[in-house]
Order: sequence, then C-alpha cells, then structure tokens
Amino acid sequence: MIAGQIPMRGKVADNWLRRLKKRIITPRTIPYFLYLPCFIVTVGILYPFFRSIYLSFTDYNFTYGTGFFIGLENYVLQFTSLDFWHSIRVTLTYAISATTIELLFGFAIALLLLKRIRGRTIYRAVILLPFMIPPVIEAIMMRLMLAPVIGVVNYVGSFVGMPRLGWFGEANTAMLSVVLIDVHNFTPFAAIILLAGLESLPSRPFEAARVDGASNWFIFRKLTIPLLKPVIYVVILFRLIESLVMFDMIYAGTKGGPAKATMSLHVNAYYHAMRWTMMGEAFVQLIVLWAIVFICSFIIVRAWRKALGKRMV
Amino acid sequence: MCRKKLFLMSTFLLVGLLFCGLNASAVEKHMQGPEVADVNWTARKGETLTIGLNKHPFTESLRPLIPEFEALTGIRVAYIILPEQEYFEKLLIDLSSGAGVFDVYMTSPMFEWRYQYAGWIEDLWPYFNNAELTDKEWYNREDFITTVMNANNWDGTIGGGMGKGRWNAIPVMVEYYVQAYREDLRKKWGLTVPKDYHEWYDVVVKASEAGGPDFFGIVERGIRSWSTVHSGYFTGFNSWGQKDITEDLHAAINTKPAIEFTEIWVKGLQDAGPPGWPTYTWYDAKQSFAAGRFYMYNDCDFFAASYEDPEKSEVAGKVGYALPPAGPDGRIVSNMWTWALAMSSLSKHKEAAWLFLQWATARKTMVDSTLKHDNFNPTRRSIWNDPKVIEKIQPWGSRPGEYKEVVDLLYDKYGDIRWTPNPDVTTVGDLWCDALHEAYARQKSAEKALNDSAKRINRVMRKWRMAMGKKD
Repeated sequence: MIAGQIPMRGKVADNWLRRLKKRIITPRTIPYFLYLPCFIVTVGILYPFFRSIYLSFTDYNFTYGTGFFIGLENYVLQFTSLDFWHSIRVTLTYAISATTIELLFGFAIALLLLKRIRGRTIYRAVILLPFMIPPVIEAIMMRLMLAPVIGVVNYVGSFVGMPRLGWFGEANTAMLSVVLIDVHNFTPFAAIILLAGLESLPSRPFEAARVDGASNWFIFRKLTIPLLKPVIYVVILFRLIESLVMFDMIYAGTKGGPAKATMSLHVNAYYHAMRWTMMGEAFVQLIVLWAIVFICSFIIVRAWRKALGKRMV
Repeated sequence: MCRKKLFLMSTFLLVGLLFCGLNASAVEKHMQGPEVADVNWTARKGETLTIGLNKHPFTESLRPLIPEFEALTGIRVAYIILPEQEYFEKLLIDLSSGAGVFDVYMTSPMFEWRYQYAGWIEDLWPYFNNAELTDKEWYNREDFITTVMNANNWDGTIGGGMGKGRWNAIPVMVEYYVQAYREDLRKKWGLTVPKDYHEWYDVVVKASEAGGPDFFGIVERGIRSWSTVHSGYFTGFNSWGQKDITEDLHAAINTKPAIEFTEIWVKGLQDAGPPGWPTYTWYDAKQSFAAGRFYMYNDCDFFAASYEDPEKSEVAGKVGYALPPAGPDGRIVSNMWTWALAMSSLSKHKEAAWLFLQWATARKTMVDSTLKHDNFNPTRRSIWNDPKVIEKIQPWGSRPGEYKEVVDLLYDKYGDIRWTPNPDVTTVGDLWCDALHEAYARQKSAEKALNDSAKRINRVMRKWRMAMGKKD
C-alpha cells in the first residue's frame, strides 16, 4: 500500500508544478523574467547611490550612532570650506595632468611600436609590464625609489648634479611625484589602445596623401589625428575617470600630504569617513566627485559620438 | 621551668617560621607561572580566539609565547598582524560594521576613548572581579605602574576623567619620549646635550653642518597623522606649559607660547632635518637613525632596544639618552603612549578572551617577553626592577645605567598622557599635523597654520561643547 502511494503523491506534485509553471511563464511574462537580472543589478547599484545621497543630508557618524536629518548643513559646511575647494583643485590637477601626459607619451610609444622594427613583439610585451603592477604596489615601490635619503633616484641623480629632492615629502614636488607614478603605471594602457587604433586605420587615405607628396607632419595632423579621434576619446574617457577617482596610488604614496598638497576629494572623503567617522561630510565629497566624473564622462562621450559620426561620413 | 621555656621558644620559632613561609609564598605566588593561579585555564578549551595585532616589537615578543597559552588552555589563537595605519583602519571597520572578527585587539588610550564612546570595548572590571575567572593574588594588578594603568581607565568625561571609571584595556608596553643622540659624534664635534629648545636647535644645526651632505642633525616622525604630533612635538609643546584643548573644549594649539615653540621645532626640521620629512614614519626614522644617518631622534625611549642591538644597528654602543629639553621655565615633561590589550564588545568568546588577557599580561609572560624577546618598556614595576632586566639594559647609553636612570625619571616624574580625553582626539591630532606640514613647507607662517588648524579643531569639538553644555 505505502509503496503505491509514493508515486501517486509524486505525480500530483508534478502536475501542480507543471500547472504553476504554465501560469507563471507565459509569453507575456517572459520579457519581465529576462529583465530580472538587469533589474537586480540596477537596484544593487542605485540603492547604495541613493542611500549615500540620503546620508549626505544627515549627521551620520558611526562612532556616536547618530544619523539625524540635518538638511543642507553638510553641503554648506563643505562649500564654505577652503579645504574642500582645495581638494577639488587637487583632484582636477591630478586627473588632467596625468591624463594629458599619458596620452602624449602613449601616442609617442604607439607610433614607435607601429614601425616595423626587429623585436617589435618583445617591445610590445615589455611596454605593458608597468600596467600589470597594482597601483598600491607601484606607489610603495616608487616611495622606496624616491625616498629622499636612501632612495635610488636621488642617489643616481647626485652623479649628474641633481639636487637632493624630497619627492613625496615636499609640498612642491608631491603632486609631481604622484602624477609621475600614475604616468608610469598607465601610459602602457594608453599606448596599447592607441596602437590598436593606429593599426585599424584605413591605409588608402595615407597612400593617396603620400602619392600627393604630403609631408609626414601634414599626414599626422590632417589624417592620423582626425581618423584616430574616437580612439583618443576612449583613452581620455578611461584615464580621466580613473584619475579622478584615484585613491590607492595617492594614499599609498603621500596620504594626501604633505601640507594637503595631494589631498584629492577621494582621499579627503576617506579621512572623513574611515579615520574621523564623519560619514555625512564624506558622502557630500563623494557625491561631488561623482558629479564631476559624470559631467566629464558626458562631455567626452558626446565628443566621441561626434567624432565617430564624422569618421563614418 | 627550663623545659617550659624551651617549649615556648620552639612554639614561637615554629609559628614564626610558618608565618614567614606563608608570607614568602604569598609574595612569590604572583612571581610564578600561570599553573599556580587559582584559575580554571581549561574552562574554555576548544574555542578559537582571533587577536588583532599591530606590527610592533611587542607583537614580535608575544607571538613566540602564544603556543604556551594554547598548551595551557586548549584555546586556539589566530592572529592578524597589520602595519599601524592599516591596522587601525581595519579595526575601525571591524568594530563599526559589527563584524566582530577580533576578540582581543591591541589599542591605546587615545583610541579607547573613541571605542568606549561607541560601545566597542568591553569593561574589564567585571571579569577581574569574578573569582571564578581571576586569581587576584596571582595576577597582582597593583604591580602595574599607576600612571600607565590609569591611562586605560576612563569615566567618559569629555576633557577629563582619566584613571576613573571603566577599565578598558591592560597595558603591555609603555613609551616615553627622549633625546636619543650620537654620543660618539657629540664628543667628536664638541656639542652639548640640549637642556632647552633653543639649545636643541643650535645643536642639531651644528651637527647637520658637521656631518656633511648625507648626514642630518635631526629626524622626527612626519607622516600626515596625529602620531606626528604625539611624540617629540607634543612633548616639547607641553614643556612650554601648553595644552591641546582648553577646559571649555576649544583648541589651544595657537597660543603665543605654542606658536613660539612650533616655530623653533619646525625651523629645526627645516634647517637640520632630512628633505621630505613628511614621509617619515616612526619606523623609517628609527631605521635611518640606526643606520647612522642622523645625529638625533627625539622619539620613543624603547627604540634603544633596536639601537643597542649590533645585529640591527650600526650605532650600537654609540647612542646617548637624555630627558627631553626643558621649556622656558625649566619644566620637563614627556608625553606617553602605551600599547594595551583590550576585549571587543562584539566578541563571542569573552571568557576565553579574558583568560588570554590575564595570561598575556601576567608577570611570567611579560618577563619572558621582555627578557627573551625585547618587549620594552615593561608596564609592571617588578619587571622593570627585575635584576635580569636591569642587567640587560645596564650598558645602554653613554655611561652604564644611563638609560635606566632616564626612564626611571620618566616613569615616576615626567611621563604621562598629555592629551585631553575626548573621543575625537585622533581627529584633533590629524588636523593639527596639517599645521606642522604647512609651516614646514613654508606655505604659511606657524601662527597662520596653527590658527587655521585651531578653527578646524573647534568645529570638530563643537558637538562635545554642546553635549557638555560649554560655551560655543
């Protein structure tokens, strides 16, 4: 008897499941199910974002357990603070100078690697090596190399009469030092993307220009640059966004100092949040940083679309 | 009669011997290992404790001893060791997120004030007063140096209350700030041991000039952190009779004497310090001093253990130790730092954690950590005065016994925590450090830099003024 009941029960359950499946998974509901992962990801991104915006209007401090709504007080405090504006200036200086230098050096390297020289594949592999170093390791390594008293750079420089520099430790050279390590780390990225772009350019316009007797400089200005514009914008987009939000390299290199010379918005927000537990003010700084990144990205993407459209024409 | 006398005398003798014996065993109990303690060490057998440790000489002295605790109790100990800044940040994340990874962690009064306010640190009194968990006679809490132990007690009063109320942590090492200088070079160059800060400036500049291009007169820790303020600078600042915070919880870092002292101190670093001073951590500066790159380092006294080790140092036997220079009115003081072990309020193994704390801070463990693994300076007076410890430190300094004499004075007379207790003390220190960096970089005068930092500190302290009903 018992043995006969089990398949009976299994059959009922099976039928019930099949009916449920038919009712839920219909041609009308299938698109919603397909959207579900996308919806979950969107919520996963947007919830923390909107939560951060909300917290920027509170005095949230996890040491004291406070989290009262205080309106625009955090924003007023930040916008009237000289340190905040200084951090914005540092963030933009760092991002713009690092991106510009990386683009120029990357371009030069890409043009060199485009030449059909012996061992080109080896150069291509070697040039990528700095990009494989994690930024924190790069910063620590450079800190040792640029150490004022025991560092190898000052030591070697002394043979060619270079004055002993404080690098990360002097307010007037700290920014230069962190930009330099960013350039060392990320120029290969720019070079590889630009090289791929250069290699994908159509050969006919270049051949025609050469037949017409155009100089290399003319070809570079009037053909290479305009045709490569979409790729250049992609490099600028990636590097600018990453430089604007750069934290690990600056923090590991200088901790935002000395004399706040490298106190970018991200590092400043980190001090407020993780050392001083002033989360409300930290969120204001991060939201402003987000806004800067968003505006920059928006402008570059528009320019990229425009350039792409022109190239298609 | 004679027999009666003899009987009485023997009885007295017996009672006397018995009394002496009992007394001797009472004295000796705390001098012995944990096996004599009236504590059930195996009560928490099978549990696992996670200890958060900072990369520090104390940690190196504790690690080799941990297997003894595991064998004694059957409790397994896992530990996480991180460099100082990363350690405090990781700990803050662990405590604030409620993750509770650490059962026991290394801390210090300046951090305990924040953790106590946030409810992240366990009060140790109930565990100490529980006869089932603690053998008070064996543990001998009174053996700890009073100022050092008191620094880990706080009643929660903003601006005071240290040494009262909750017992947050047990000190495992203490440091004061001294002048460590190159005695061999002092004699060679005819320099004096500075008695005040004007003399200090002259000496370090002369040493820098005499040492040539690769040698510098002075080094101090310099990274952007409260710790840069804490050691040499804060010691001098207090010698000038200054306080960080006033009684009504306003910043007092920009008074006239404070500005005067800051100018001398920063000028010393500019004229006689290494380029890039703000990159120096205490560790970098210690290593560079031990490598013979600097004439003087005004920092922790216990660095002597490294300086005097010929395997780690090129200046072993060449260093002199002196009290910090005096302020204008002859006042000598030193700030103090003590690493301590605390129990997390989030721990799920609190009794096991207490057993660990009791064992790790017991006399026997601390003697071993000091004598075998160089944990200086000890926080128990009996260890500091132990003949073997005295013998070990006797040669340190420009003459035998110099180090002991200097540290004795710091223990008993000049050394104490000089910060004003408040949960935001490390924030105050970070903001203050900016002023030192700005003055050093010649971006601002010392006065302007200190005024600007004072404004920022006042903003941070505003909530405490409001909470304590003080004038804003």
